[in-house]
Amino acid sequence: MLPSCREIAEQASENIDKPLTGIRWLKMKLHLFICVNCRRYKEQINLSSKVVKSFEQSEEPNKQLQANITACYEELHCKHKEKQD
Amino acid sequence: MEKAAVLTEQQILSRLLEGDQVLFQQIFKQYYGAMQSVAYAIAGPVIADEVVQEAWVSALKALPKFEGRSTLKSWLIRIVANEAKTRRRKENRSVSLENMQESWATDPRFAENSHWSNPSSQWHGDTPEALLSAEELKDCIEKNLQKLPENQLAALRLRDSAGLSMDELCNILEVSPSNVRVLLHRARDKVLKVIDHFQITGEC
Repeated sequence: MLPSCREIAEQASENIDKPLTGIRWLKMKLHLFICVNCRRYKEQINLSSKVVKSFEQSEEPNKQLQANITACYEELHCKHKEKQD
Repeated sequence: MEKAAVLTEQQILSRLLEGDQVLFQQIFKQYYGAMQSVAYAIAGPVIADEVVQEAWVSALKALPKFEGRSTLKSWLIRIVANEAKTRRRKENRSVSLENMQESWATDPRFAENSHWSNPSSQWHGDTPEALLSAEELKDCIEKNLQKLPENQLAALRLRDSAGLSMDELCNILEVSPSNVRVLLHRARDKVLKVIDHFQITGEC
């Protein structure tokens, strides 16, 4: 028996992280073939995941944080160098 | 200026140990988003940057001993995740991110036979850029993400924002693979519903 739309909705998200294989993959494909709503849902859940991903790429670090960490890098590098010398 | 992207991990490590500041700045910026997402997901927005700073201090101290058994990115992510968990405990927030209680069996989009009764609409735009050309939608999604249960938001940020593997999610969130799948699906489904509502009404 083919999975229900609710099951397909869950599998659409699972498929993003680990593509379905074997009989589960085949049943999903067959369901998608006959169900326009699930085809659309699968595309939209992929797109929703990509939208969240695009948020991270636009994050700019806080200037003060960057300055603090750079200062720490310089300081630790100097100490490390002193040890080596 | 040589870009970090053209260097091998080993070359990056050597250059960082030699004190290559320009490269360090590039690496810091490159991994900031992922590290911040992990810190945010586990320790919350208020102290996320502090956690990132503490993680970098720990990482820089340990850098000479880093043997390159994992990639630099996953090593940094592990450090920031551990730092965030420690801070979470100190701030007296519950450490357990497990709470799988809510059910979506009553989702009104599905009929009793578990097939669609109210499916999503056709969207105008099939890329994140096209959808987010409406600035209000991004704000709307961000606002709604804050309303997600903590464990779902953490899973979504760790996986889709920070790009961590499913195994890493299980370790950090201390839940089973099937629970991670449920958390991710519910969180993504919420984003989908927010976008769909916006597409239909033009409002958040």
